[in-house]
Amino acid sequence: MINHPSQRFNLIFRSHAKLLATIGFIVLMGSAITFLMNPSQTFLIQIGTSVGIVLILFAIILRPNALHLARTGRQVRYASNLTVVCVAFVTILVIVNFFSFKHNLEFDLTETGEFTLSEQTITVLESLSEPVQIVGFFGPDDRRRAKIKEYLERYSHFNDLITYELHDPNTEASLAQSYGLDNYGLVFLSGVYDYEVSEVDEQAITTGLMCVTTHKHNQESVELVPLKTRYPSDRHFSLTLFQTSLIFLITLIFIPLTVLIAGLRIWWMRR
Amino acid sequence: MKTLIIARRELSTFFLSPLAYIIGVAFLFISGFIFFFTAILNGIASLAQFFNVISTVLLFILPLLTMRLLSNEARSGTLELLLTAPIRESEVVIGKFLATFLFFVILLIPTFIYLVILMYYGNPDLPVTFSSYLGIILLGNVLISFGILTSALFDNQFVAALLAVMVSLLFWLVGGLGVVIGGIAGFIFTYLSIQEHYADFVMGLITTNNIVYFFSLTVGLLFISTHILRIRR
Repeated sequence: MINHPSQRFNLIFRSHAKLLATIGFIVLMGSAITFLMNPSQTFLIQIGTSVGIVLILFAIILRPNALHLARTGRQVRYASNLTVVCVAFVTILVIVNFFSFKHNLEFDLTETGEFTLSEQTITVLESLSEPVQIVGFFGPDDRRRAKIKEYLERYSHFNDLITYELHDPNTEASLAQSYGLDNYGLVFLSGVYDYEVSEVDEQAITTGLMCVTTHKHNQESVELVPLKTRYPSDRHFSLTLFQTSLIFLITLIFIPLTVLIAGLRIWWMRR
Repeated sequence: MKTLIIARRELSTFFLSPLAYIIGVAFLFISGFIFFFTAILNGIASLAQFFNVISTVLLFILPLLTMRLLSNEARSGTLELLLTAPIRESEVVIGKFLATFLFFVILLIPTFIYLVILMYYGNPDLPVTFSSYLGIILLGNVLISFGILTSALFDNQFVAALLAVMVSLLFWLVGGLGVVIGGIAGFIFTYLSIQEHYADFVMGLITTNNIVYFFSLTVGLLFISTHILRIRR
């Protein structure tokens, strides 16, 4: 018979020790994720970590035998072994991915060599002797942002002297204005020299690189670096109504129906 | 050898199951629909749009194929029999993975007809199409592995399928979060995104990094599934 309030209190909390430990663990994980996503939220991270640790410690104090069981239980031992093995294996995979990312080989299968830098660009990149920083201003919704990022990654991957950063001109308008840009564009910086372009193609970027390294400022006096023009094949075709209907019948009716009939036949024979 | 026996047994189970045919027919009907509306009606001899859309469909179709692989065996009690046999857990997992993968490849074969149609009427970019097929096969590997993992975790096959869809969607969409967050965490989220790696294949760019990503994710998920089976033994 439990009559004393402290005994009742103890019993209620002991039965909820597992729940407390789970909440503590979730709060700790939340703090870790917050730290990864936004390390500046130090107050939130500190509070979360403290609350998580206190809850876990409280659960351990309430049920110390659970900790003993956790250390000796068969299922728990297997689970902890699994965790260790999995963490080790995932670490190996992370390392393998890191090296494959650093030493990436690309095979461009597009007809026009869309993902391959042109010979002229490679010549310019090989002749670079001083660091060039490229600052881009494109909003997150700007479709050109992905394209320019892809180009800049390729350029910086080819030559370590090139570094780049992308900013949002809407949220960092003052930064864009400090480079003389009203809206979007690219700024090439090398030493005390700078050069701006608003186009987002290989020709404009290569020209920008050339200009900033050869110290040409007057845009009007600069000629675009001529790149080999690559025309893709025309992939358009037109069909008559009969041909369209025929393809409709083949793709939407004939193929699924054939598989259905074949499947039913096999199933009927082997059931 | 035992792996191949399990794979063969599992593949024949697929061909005996009406559910597999229903899924197969549904997949081909949706594929035909996507092909007709993205390539034929637009008059473009390219399967790029088709591969972009069909990848999203696979997120929902493949968990339906994998949901019963281990959970059904656990529910019917045959998993215990299988695990008491002189056979390793890895052989069970790899065997079931191979069977589902082969079934998936068989499902993809009729889609070559789309390519033949485009070659007849237009001029498709064959190397890019080859790259897209490679991408969809690697994507399929990962989605099947997610399905096997959730099937090893739960005895209820519908819970397994639902969780597989959710986890696959999470890995599919996590790249968007990476763009919003930015910084190192953003880079990690973007790198984890299946969509980011798959998109390169569809555009005609094969990179060793993307291949390593898909292989390591598949191997990692199968490895964890094997260990979950070991715990259940």
